[in-house]
Amino acid sequence: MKFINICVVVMLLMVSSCAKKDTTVNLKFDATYRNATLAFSPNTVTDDSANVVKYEELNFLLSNIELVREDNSVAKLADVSYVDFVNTENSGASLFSDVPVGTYKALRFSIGLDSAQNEQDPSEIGDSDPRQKAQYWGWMKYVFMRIEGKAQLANTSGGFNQLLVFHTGTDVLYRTITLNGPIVINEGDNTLQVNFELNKIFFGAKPLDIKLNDESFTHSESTSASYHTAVNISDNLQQAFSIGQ
Amino acid sequence: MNIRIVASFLLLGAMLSFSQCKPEGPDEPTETDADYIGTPYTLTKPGAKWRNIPDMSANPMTVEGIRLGRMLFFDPVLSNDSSISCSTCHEPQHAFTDNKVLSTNIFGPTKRNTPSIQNSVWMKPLFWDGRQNTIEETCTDALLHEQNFNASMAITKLSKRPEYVALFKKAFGRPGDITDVKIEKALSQFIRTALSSKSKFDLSQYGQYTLTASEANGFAIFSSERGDCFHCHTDGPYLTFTDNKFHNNALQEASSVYNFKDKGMGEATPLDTNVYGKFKTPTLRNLAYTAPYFHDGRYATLEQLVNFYSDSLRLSPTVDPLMKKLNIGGLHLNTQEKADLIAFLNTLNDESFVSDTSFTNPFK
Ligand code: HEC
Ligand code: HEC
Repeated sequence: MKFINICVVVMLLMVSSCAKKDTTVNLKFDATYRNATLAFSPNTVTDDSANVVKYEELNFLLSNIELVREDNSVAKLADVSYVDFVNTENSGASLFSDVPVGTYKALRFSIGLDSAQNEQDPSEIGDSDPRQKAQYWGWMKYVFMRIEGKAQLANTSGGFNQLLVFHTGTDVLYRTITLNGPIVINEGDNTLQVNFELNKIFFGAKPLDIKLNDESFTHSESTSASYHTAVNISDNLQQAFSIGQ
Repeated sequence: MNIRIVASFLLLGAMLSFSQCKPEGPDEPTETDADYIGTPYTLTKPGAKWRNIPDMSANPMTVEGIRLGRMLFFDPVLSNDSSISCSTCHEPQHAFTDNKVLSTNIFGPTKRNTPSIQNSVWMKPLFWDGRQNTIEETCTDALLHEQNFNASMAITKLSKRPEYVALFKKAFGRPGDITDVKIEKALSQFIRTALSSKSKFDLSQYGQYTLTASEANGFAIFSSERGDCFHCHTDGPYLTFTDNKFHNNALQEASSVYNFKDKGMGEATPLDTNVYGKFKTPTLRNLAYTAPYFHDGRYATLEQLVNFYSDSLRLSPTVDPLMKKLNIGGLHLNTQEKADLIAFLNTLNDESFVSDTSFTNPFK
């Protein structure tokens, strides 16, 4: 009996010493616009339809961030994180520790929260939970992604009077993004850079025309005439993300 | 000199032995009593849908501190010619506003409308332009800028009033002198007690009131794309009715950031032109008592205010993108929708708050 106990202990020790080393990964998001760094208001960018746009807000909630191995097993980096490109002092902690060293075939994360995460309101979660940094609006729960700005439409001279507000949220607009590697995580510090190309949100597979009132805003209200705008934005997300250099 | 000190000790001793005879009330501090803290007062949040009470270890509330703060708030002693007090502009029966277009100090009208100080325990930063971060700093700023009175004069005047000398000791213990920090702490403690949480809308949260069809429809307009008010006037699931952030809600027309009549937050941080024309989102509680509205008191009624949001939005460089359909003036609510929205806003009035006797003038 005693002997078996000792064996178990020895085996456990062996297993743990055989296990791969853990390290840290800094997941860094860069916002780009037509391949250049995205400049926020008061700077302007010009979109594919020659509208001049000042972006003022860009943030999103990420969840279930994981690295996928060749055999489809995963190393989880975090349940939830928050990324804010404008208020950088608010930007979510994107440094993840205890990540096993190795080669992974993909990085996978979701924009938004899964239904269980979305169900808990801010009064039910801890003060340091990254969800506290996102907006929470009663009926739509957490705002998954928030893009705001103003545009001077092509061939107009009325100034920046086309207001842009895109808020995605609700369980049905939860989208999982897979970025194929290979991704090598070495011992020591690793930086994993992911680019977010904002232009693709509007000029992706499901394009939007910000000239139209119903495509210049959405709050993801399913009964609204602008609902398809939230759907298109969510469906264009996969295309907008890529592993950076 | 020595005799004076001995005399004051004797007096203090006499007062102490006197107060010890009294059944209630805390002990007054003595020279040997370094740990005196007064009677702790616990501020509790009104319900689950309220944010937690923030950490107050920098200025722990006591019954004595609140009592002193209330007196200072109502006593014109804190002004040059003893003519005005905080309560001149922050009147409890008007939910701590004054019903004037622009607040009026001893020199005449200032440039801003008096905001309410209700529920400010959760407000941060404070003032229309966000120039102060804590209630304590705000009180000292208000004393200086709203009331045109400086702390050293305040200390001199208060020190001549034995009842205040005693009250300060009771509130703050040793060493018992009157300081600017203690003045702002006492005022802040009183202000933090001013919580409004018993409106019809609050009662409806606990099933103690049912919104009428019009009020319910107004709430739907408020919290949906139709009215879009919720973006700025909500705080997640909490009942504060402000996001505690700064926005330009299309009130002022300006062709350049330098043309705003009132730069709002731009006055607090002049180097950041992105914040010019932005003001702090006020709470929507007790509007029935706080007219006129907006930082410049431009609208006397909620009808005018809702007409503005619906039909007369104005363009400026920092206007918030949330002010939808600005290019056509606004959302164009119909007459019924406007009436419903106002009916909802009126469910946030809290009669019990404006008549609460713990906030009234203690000298009357
Ligand atoms: C002459 C009228 C007047 C007097 C007297 C006055 N205030 Fe005010 N108070 C105002 C105005 C106007 C503002 C807004 C000023 C601004 O934002 O620039 C204000 C703002 C405040 C605020 C911030 C409220 C918020 O929501 O941001 C507090 C707190 C406050 N005052 C407390 C006091 C205290 C304490 C006193 C007495 C020492 C006092 N006030 C005296 C007019 C007055
Ligand atoms: C973009 C953010 C934003 C939106 C959307 C918004 N507000 Fe406001 N609201 C503000 C700000 C900021 C102020 C203060 C503006 C000022 O005084 O310059 C304000 C002031 C008010 C006031 C005056 C309160 C007082 O004490 O003076 C009322 C009432 C009000 N809003 C109601 C509404 C209603 C109703 C809606 C929807 C139709 C709405 N707001 C939409 C930001 C917003």
